[in-house]
Amino acid sequence: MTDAATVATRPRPKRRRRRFTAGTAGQYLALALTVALTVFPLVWLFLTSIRSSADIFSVPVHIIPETATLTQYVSVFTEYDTMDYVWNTVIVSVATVILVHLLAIPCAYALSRFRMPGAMLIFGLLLIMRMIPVIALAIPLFAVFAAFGLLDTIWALILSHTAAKLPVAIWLLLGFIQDVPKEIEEAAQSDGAGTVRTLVQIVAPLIAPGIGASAVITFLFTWNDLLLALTLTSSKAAQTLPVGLTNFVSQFGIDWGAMSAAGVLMVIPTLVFVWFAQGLLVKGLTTGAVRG
Amino acid sequence: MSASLSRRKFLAASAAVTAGSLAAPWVARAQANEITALLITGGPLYPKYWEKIVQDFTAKTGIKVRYDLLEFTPLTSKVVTLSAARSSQYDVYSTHTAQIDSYFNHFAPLNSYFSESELAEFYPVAVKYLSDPKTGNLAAIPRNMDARVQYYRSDVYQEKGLKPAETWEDLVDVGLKLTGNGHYGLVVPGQGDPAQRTFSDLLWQAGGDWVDQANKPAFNSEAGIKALTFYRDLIQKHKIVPPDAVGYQWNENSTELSSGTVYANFDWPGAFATLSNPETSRIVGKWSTAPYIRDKAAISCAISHAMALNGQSGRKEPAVEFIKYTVGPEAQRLQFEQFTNFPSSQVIAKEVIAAAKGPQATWLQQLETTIANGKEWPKLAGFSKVCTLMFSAIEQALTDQVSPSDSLNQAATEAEEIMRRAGAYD
Amino acid sequence: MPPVAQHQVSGRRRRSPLPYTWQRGYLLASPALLVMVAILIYPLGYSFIMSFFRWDLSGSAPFAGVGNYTDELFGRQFNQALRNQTIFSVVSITIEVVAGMAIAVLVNGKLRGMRLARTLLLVPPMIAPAVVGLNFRWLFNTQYGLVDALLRMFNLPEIPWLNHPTWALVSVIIADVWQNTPLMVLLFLAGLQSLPQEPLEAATVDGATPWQRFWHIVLPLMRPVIMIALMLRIIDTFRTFDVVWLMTQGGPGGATNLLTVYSYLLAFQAVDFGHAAAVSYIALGMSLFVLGLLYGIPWLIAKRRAI
Repeated sequence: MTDAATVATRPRPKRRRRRFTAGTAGQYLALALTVALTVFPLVWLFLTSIRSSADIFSVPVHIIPETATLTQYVSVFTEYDTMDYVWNTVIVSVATVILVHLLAIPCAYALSRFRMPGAMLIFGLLLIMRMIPVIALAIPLFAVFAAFGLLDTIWALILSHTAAKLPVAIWLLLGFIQDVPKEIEEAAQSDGAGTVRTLVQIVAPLIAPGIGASAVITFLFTWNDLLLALTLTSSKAAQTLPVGLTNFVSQFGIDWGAMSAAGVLMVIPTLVFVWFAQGLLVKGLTTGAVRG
Repeated sequence: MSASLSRRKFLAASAAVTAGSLAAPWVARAQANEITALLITGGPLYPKYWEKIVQDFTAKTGIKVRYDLLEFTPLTSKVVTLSAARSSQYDVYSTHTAQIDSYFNHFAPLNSYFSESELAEFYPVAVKYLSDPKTGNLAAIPRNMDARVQYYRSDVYQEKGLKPAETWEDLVDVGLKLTGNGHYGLVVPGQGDPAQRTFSDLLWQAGGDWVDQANKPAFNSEAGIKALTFYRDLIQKHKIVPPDAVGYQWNENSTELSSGTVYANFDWPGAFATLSNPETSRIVGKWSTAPYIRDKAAISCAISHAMALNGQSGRKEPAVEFIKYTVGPEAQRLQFEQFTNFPSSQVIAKEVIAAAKGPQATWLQQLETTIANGKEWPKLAGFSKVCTLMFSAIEQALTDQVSPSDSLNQAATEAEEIMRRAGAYD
Repeated sequence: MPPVAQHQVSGRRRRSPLPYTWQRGYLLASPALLVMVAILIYPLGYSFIMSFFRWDLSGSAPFAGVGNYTDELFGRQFNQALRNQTIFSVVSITIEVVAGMAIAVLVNGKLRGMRLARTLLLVPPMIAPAVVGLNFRWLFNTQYGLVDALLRMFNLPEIPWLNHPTWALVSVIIADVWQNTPLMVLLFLAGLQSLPQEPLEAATVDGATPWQRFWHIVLPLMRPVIMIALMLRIIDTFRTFDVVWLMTQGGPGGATNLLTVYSYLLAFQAVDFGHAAAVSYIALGMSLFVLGLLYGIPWLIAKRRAI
């Protein structure tokens, strides 16, 4: 603060004005650069997906494909079990979102409203669970699901994703519930509403944006996961798209074209959410952080 | 053993026994005349092959087979996971010589299911390296042989008046003449297991071996250092191999040739079918095969894809029947017809070589020679972990991070310690 | 965005007429807690215990004490992975936070096209790491990839991206920076937008330059957000796996081996689960330790000042 104060004694309005215009140009340049760097790997992914297999391995590299073709997209569906993967991924992601929120909303409500001994311990555990490297869990998790006879089923994925995404969802919802004025609940309860009714009819609608935000985040992180699916599934009965992606790598070649096409397909839900639910996505990614 | 019993043990902290018994055997829900199998796939032809094998087997025996297919790498990690959990989900596994030493105590020995004469039909090199050297237990039965020959661009070679390399020196000479304009004379893989395979072949060719008489590491001998130096120089000094090869495994090794960028490589039998197929190859009709290169000796690896019986399986008899069928004459012939997999049975191999004509016959004879002279690295306790160490040691030398001799000496010291700890010298 | 941390206190200290008893609390929380205990804590405890055993497929798993841990801590490969992990975490987090802050300040202004830029920035963090890893492996291929093709086009020296030990580490850092910098931008942007306006306006009236305002006012006010951002990135760089695995498998020669990748190799290639588990727990312990430093040091300093 002291520096700012000393500077204040000798203002230089003229120079500041010139810097403003040069600054604006610089800002635009930096902005353009940021956008270009963000976009170009994705453009390359897309370009690879519309090349013929011959064009992919051409030397020198044709940056713009010689001819655009949809054959890679066709082969993704005809030569690989991609439809099964898509279907599994959708079911797992949607079911996980539902299950996570059925469990997380009451839990977050309890943690923010009820005087629970050991709450600090629970918060600590939530943080630890967020920190676990999934590799450490792979083999024991496999053993757990083997014991329940759930290996290579969609349920194994839904349950493990539910557990893995719960800490973040609870953390996120906690912030939103704490913003709900307690007086509203008290009014409802003095009207004779029980705990569950208060939660369902009063609190849940008030934190709808929070639920939406954490639903979007949960969905996309589940959709994108590779390691859990790789560990817990072994057939197209339960394999998901990211696992399917690794199937384009076979012993006698990597099908870069089809793999890129599948990669583009995988990115579609992200683009949809970014376009139509931008607000929720931003909320989901930032709420916990900004509130601390 | 029931699930609850094993949990109590866990609580009693005798975790040793509990390592995997959590995966209680009551998962097995299939009917008595049904078995389950986890089988290998690779490329679009494999699923049809297994479908046919399973159908024929069921028609013949009445035993149903439920199976899942995985590519080689995911298959390997899946079998590791299943074994760690002592799972009985699958009765039968596709497996391979490479990591077999890890499963000596997990796969059920097959010795009692095969007679002496039946076993003698298979290539001895395959049976030897699928057996536990300590107990003599046969951990898996070979389904087809994996060995390599040289594949090269006959059109380009002819145009430049070159002959395929026979010796190490030839390899460099020919490679130098072919490299330029974005094209390379040769590609060898340089990452992970494929790098170790390549080093291993060169080690044997230079007259060295992995271990000495006492099973102590000997790959850091003069021959070993010469082999690794030669391998590194192909990439770093002569630059006849694409620089990215240090990150390539088999698939990219194959792709470099089939896409037309590189003019020669050493590849597995499956490459013959891949290169002949216009959907996977841009050089159909423009390539030919030659024997593997030699230095002091003409030795390279002869390993096998194999079938194993899960030690936890509750349906061993029908499972063995299926295993026997997959290595039987019908299955071996079909494999060869469908994707030119080289038979593991010497009898069938003779049969298909006799029936083959033209370039295919030449190729099969070259392969047969490789297999007859073939070797594999030792199946000592802890060697799978030594392999992990070797990947890194070889890659470090190939990328000039460490000199070949330093890298091998360091690895030899650590390898001995790993094997000692694993009980290889007990 | 509502102002920072205004909740927490509201209502908790006051006596409430509602039946907010701890029994009811646990009843509501228990389903979630049960699921997490069964599916996360139990396997976690299981592999933690097994990290003290020689756990492989040999059938017996004798007790090893802290043997697995000491083997690794004094082992060459572990120390190489640790070195890579340190470089990877420090360099990528530094770039992500600094660049993230710079871009956030930039995008917070009133320029044309800003909305589109903000939308685009949302994409990388939400894309599957598997796709990112494979795509960057292909981008960085020296024969067929775009990056070296562009360098050749402009007659610049080619870069041996994935085939050179140092450049390979640079490559995986670039992929991580590409994917995660936008996340930092979003966090900082949200933080900037919830800043109180009065101090900034006062400083402007006092004639402070934009840089002075940023350095002396914005940055101190943003400290809590920066701390959270650091925390998230520290946790996640210690968990990074997919991108590196699909780009380099930890190679060449272990040059991009991070702790998770090394642990995966130990488990699935070396078939040595005991050591693999030990490495995982060392990684977990280290990220806890670093977080402890992150929050502990400022706390200690504050405490000393108070005395």
